[in-house]
Amino acid sequence: MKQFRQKNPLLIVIAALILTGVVSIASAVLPVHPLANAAGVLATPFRAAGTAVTSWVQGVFRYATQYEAMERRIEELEGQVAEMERENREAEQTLRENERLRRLLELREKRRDFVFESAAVTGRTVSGWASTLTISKGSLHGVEEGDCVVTENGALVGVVRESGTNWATVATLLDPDLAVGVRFFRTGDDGILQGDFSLMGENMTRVGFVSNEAELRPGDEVLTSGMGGRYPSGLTVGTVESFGFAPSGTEQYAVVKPKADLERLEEVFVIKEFTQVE
Amino acid sequence: MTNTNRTLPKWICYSGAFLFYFFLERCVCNALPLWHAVPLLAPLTAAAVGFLEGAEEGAAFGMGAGLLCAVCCGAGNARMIWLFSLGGALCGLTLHRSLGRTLPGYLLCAVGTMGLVEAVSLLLRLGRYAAPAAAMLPIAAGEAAYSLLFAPAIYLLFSAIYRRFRPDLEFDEP
Repeated sequence: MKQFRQKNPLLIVIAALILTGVVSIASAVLPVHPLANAAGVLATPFRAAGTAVTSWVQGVFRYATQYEAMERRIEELEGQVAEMERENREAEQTLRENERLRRLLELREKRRDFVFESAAVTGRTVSGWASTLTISKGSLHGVEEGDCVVTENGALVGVVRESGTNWATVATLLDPDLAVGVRFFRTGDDGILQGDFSLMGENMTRVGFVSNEAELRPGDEVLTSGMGGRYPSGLTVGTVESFGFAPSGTEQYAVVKPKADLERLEEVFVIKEFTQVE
Repeated sequence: MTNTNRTLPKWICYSGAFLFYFFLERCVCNALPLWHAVPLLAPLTAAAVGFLEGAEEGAAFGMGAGLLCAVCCGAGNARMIWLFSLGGALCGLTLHRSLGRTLPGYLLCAVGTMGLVEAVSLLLRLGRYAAPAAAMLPIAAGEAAYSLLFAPAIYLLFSAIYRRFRPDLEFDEP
């Protein structure tokens, strides 16, 4: 009897192993595990309440400690806005000329049509292993796995990894599980953006598989390339902070700072559908 | 109160304590990272139950805690089911027999449990990602350290529940 009681923990651990296999198989077969979906639906109000409280606390803390820094940042941004207004006027002239030339050559008009779904950020996981957001919309609102998520300015936040009934998990640009095709705007070179464990703590990400011949510079803008048609092209990803050659010597990599402020996001937009005519 | 009458309320209290720390981890600590990490409190609760109640109870409680964590944290975390169960069982099998039901004894259990969890996580990620171990070791260490900050509070709550439902036993007796 004593020996049987001593063997019981092993039986329970074996049962746990079997249960692990069942859960893993169910997760692989189903788009979202029914238990996970139910847990997500039940946890949504608690998650939102917890995020509201911690966001308020962080806001008060930031106001108390970073007021002067915020004033300087406002001055910088005002300067950037003025510069961007000037660039915008030049771009409008270029656009009108482009339309005139297209008509002359009888080319189809470039068009991008997006269908957006706005969502609030109700949770955030910023552990060293993953960088994900939980948003307030799910399959009930047409949000599907693989949809791109952007800010109100069109900066890429990440991609929907899992979509429940009224919630969804978004893998951000810092997450090591996310891989997105990108292009350096100035040089036209392509690469693959994928999160890096050593850079996640600094809110940076990594673009690898860049050609050795690419002439990168700090400050170069990085956009989505749209290769494969899975994600729209031309979404702002971030800017190059530094670059170097991979240990193999056959390719370059770039450290990229995302344009979207992933720590302070409160509202995002899911691109449910898109059509592009280049 | 007979032993039978104590069992159900005791496990309801243990479950409530687990849910408290689970929601604390998921809703509050997730938004307040330290050393670029967030704590994992669920395995420490399984370690506490195993340490106080024994191997079988620790294994079963760990399995339930791991199942809840796995369904809430996503498909790739199913390993938490067997990992927490094993942690609870080991804590019940070994340490409290020689160290007694004391806070230092539990802290040793907690360190061992977090070591097991982080070691398995590291090995699985080494196989999955091309990142070197040197990039992942600080993350694992930060997560374990942040989690262990909560270990005394977890032990105090679970040991209070244990004493509440077993007042006839001397608490520190091995």
